[in-house]
Amino acid sequence: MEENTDQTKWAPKTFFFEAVSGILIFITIALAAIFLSYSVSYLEAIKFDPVIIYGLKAAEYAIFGCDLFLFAVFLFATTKKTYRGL
Amino acid sequence: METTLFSEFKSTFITSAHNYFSPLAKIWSFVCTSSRLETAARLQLDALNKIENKVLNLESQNRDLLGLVRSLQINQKSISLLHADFERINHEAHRIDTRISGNPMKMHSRNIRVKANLAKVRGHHVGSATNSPLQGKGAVRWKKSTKHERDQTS
Repeated sequence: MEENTDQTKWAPKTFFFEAVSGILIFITIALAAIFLSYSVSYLEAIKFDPVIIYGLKAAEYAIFGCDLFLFAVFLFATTKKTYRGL
Repeated sequence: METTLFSEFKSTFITSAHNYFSPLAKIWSFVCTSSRLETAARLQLDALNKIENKVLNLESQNRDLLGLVRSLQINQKSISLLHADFERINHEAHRIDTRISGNPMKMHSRNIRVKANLAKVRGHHVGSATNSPLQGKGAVRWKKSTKHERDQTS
């Protein structure tokens, strides 16, 4: 019974830690996409080769989309785990 | 207390990072497994096609062999019929031989006598090269025609 209460007490804390960790990882990966976006803007301003710009844009969208997908899956799994712990 | 919290956060962060990227690993392993399964399925399909071709060949060979067996049976039947005919004819010949008192030389001499009598009736010598109607006794002679006869004919 006491162990169950401990689990219930620790579940929100674990969720908080995991959420913060997930957000940090999400931001870390999103930073790469943001850097790519800035690079694309800069390259467009200096009228760089459009093929490279399109490639960079595709990579930026792929990284950001993958990051979003992973973050959503991670949040869903963490929420499920916390709900079971409560 | 802060150290404990930090260490706890650190361990949770490592676990979370692992959990964060685990879907990618799962997707990757799924893709790899799918490709491996596809390759294995393709190989099995090729093997099945080969086996199917072999089975079809064996079926056609079996059909040919059945046809051969049927024709052999028909041949065997006809051979047995021929054998029965041969036995019957042989038996008949043996019966005829025994009826003619069983002396072949006597039959031969009797045949020679019959031929000789026939030749006498026709007027030829027996057993010589003068059996032709153009030679020997009673031969038809060719006579050269005269000029008068040739003129009359033309």
